[in-house]
Amino acid sequence: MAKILSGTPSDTFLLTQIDEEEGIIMKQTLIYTFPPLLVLIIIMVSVPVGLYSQYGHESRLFSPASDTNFSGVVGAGARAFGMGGAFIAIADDATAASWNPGGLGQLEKPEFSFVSRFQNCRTLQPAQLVTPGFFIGPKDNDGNSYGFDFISLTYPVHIGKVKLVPQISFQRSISFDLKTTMNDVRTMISTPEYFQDIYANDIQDFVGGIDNVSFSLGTKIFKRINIGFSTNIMMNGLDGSETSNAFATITSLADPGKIYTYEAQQKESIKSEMEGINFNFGILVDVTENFKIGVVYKSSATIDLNYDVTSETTTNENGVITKSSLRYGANSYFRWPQTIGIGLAFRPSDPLTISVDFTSTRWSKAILRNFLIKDIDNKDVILDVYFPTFAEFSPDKREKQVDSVQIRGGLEYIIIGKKNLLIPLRIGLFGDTQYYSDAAGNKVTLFGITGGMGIKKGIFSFDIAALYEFGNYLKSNTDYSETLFSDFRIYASFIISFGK
Amino acid sequence: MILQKNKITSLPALTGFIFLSFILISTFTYQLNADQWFNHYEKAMKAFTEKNWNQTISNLTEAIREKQEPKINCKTWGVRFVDYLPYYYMGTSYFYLGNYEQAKFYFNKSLEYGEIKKKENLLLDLNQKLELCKTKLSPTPIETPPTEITQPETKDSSTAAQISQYIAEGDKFKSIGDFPSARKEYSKAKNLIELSKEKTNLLVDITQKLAETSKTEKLLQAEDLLKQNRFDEAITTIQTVLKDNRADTKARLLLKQAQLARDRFQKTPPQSPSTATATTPTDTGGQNSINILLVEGSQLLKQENWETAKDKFAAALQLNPNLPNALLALYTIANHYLNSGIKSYFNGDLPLAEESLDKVLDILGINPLSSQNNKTVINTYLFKAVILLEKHFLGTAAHGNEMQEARDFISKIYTLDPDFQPPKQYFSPRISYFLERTYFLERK
Repeated sequence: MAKILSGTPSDTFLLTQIDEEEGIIMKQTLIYTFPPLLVLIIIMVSVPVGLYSQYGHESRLFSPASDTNFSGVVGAGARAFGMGGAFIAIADDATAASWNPGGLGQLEKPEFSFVSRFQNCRTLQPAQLVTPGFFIGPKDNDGNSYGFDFISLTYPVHIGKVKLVPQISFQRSISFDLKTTMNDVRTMISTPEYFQDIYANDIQDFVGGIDNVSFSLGTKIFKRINIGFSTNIMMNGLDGSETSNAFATITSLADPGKIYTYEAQQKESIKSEMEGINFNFGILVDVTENFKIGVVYKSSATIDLNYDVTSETTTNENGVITKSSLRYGANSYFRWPQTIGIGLAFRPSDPLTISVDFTSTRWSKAILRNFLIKDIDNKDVILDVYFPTFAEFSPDKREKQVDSVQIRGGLEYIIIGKKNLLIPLRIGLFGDTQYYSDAAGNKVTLFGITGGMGIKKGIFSFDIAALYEFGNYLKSNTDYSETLFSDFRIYASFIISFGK
Repeated sequence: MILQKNKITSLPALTGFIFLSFILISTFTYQLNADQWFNHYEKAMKAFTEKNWNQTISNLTEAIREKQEPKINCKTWGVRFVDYLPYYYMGTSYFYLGNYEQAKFYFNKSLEYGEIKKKENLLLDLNQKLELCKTKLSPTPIETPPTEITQPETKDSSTAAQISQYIAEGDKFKSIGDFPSARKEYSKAKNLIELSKEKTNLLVDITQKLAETSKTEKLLQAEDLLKQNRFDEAITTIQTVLKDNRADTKARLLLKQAQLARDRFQKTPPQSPSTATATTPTDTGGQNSINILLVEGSQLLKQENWETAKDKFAAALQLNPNLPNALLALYTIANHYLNSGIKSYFNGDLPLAEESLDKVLDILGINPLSSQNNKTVINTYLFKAVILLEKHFLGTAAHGNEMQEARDFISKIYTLDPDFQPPKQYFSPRISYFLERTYFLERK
């Protein structure tokens, strides 16, 4: 923000950073400059207030909630998440195809599953005293969403001695659903000439996501080897808006009776559609009766992206109202990265299972192609850019994306009650490196703890899992304190297994 | 729709191709894609419900081949558990087919593993059927070997197929405990392999299978001989197993048991014919009760439920005093109480120490080991004497005869071991003085 304050009045320019090695534009930012006082207000309103706001516009196409999911795209189901998401080498229920389609071959009976989700995302940045005269109050951005996560039907078919296990499923693999509100962030700037007191807030309301309709088939090819395959049709998109408000009063110290007021509201509506196809292959080997190894490969995908952004800004400067609007959109596409995962599951005793997964996603190759925006003169600017991050970078600080790595581990212990009542208890941990560094150049890693339990009686199973992911990062290289990030999710699964 | 046209057209074709490939792979590998134990067991349970006994036996044989050990709450797949009790259902199926010999064999096998005891209703049913089997078999008291399953003559000209069939038959016989037939089948397979001179790995495998079968058979023979008090023959049989593998734990343990039983048998006066008849293993009803007591006692011992375990073993010994396992178990329990007593003594808890030592004396009363020179007996007498002396010196004596009782215990020690030297260093000066003086008197 300090940089922007030093801009030249009535000037507009485009700051572009080109990655020479890749031959793409890493970041391009329109910088609007106004008289210094107004610049501050505009920036406070429009740039860093969102939960995951970015300098670039691309982040708007994926919604605020998307970041946590981008590198954390795994599978579905409360049982799996209760175990920290370490399920590649287990994958033995109706959610199998989302983790490792190789696990489908283990299913002996038809199963139906339904999973729902509740999510709470929060970022908290403590108050900052940039200079003795420059105070920024605490920013607390809190958002909730809930909804459907996964539904599937699996129906093993026996043709002679050949067993085939087809599954059809619908999964919200990345959720854009989120309704967030940010507190009134107070900024006070005191100079020998004037005193500025500014309040700004932000509301975001988005729905949608990247949904997968999957057709899967698993089979057992040898006594101890299961293989599986899924075709995933990725679809849906984002629909929603972000509204930012600011109110400023400026008191001249030379003439204290004269108070200057300024109000601004910016409303940005975003609608996007996405569609693509990818494939998953999985293998699951029963090395021994108590030890399994699973490997899954999720192919990359080219996802078509059609988007339309409308931005309207209204200002009221001492009673003078001004309105402006901007609209842009394009048919673009992005390269969704491939993922490879390996999992191990060990069963020291019948009721206890311990599992570990290792997953790597090639984010270094994930790029937004033909990304189009309108510059201030309403001219088209077409860019190839990297994926959004939730750290805010000065354009010259944005580094290349790197491959992300996840390590997940968990255990499940099943208490066997009377009359065949089963009560599984689960705990898990995971670490999730991100594909970018924060504004200080440090690698961003999120950590998570999970826990869950279930109840299974006869053909019905109900499972519930809680997941808490947390981390901290320096959001902007002008910040004096790190932003604390937390994501709390609850998953509930209901499974009917036809046949005991 | 923004999906590109080429994607729309290529998707069904590609997906169809991959799905078809899966079906083909699965079809070509189905012979290797055999069912797992729980698939066989599920089919067996279905056949059992339908009272299709032959089908039940066939499926259970396959299940046992995959998984021998029965288990309550055994995990199958996913979050699914099953009570895996194949031998009980095998026995029941044979029972309804009228094959009481096989039924008895599998019921006994089920009892041997012990898991059935966790299911009271099934255990009751098993015991009832077992008794009926014994009644039906009683006119022919001579044990006949289990019915030999006729081996189908293979018409396959391929040697490999014939070898596989012999091995499979051998495995089948082995899984049902018919070791002589298993050995016969393995030998046929081995002969063919040697003639073919190709399958060297298979030759190693089959040699191992033969050795394993032979060993198990010999150990079972030895156990039978032990039951008939034919100790020397049993020991010789076990030693032939140990000759092949000196580290075989099971054989070594059995040898120890046999030697101990022989020593004890030689020292114990022979029983009157009437008593012997009452307790001989051929008394199947009594033997069954003994087996149940021994299994229950062992489980209680594992749970460290010492007192109840002691009662079980003592009850078993009342039915048959010649049970090496029961005697060993009692010896273990006695040592546990002795250790507790000694610890309590050195912690200054004399009442608790005395209580523990009384429990040892109680066990020694049951166990003829008490007449032998061993450290358990000697230490029990020693600490019992020491506690009596402590009570005497502390003035907490109950009846005033403690000093005399202590002397009696010390005398018993010298009867067992005339060279016994009391460890005076562990006790108070007064106790040490008493022990030294008693030692002097006894030596004199």
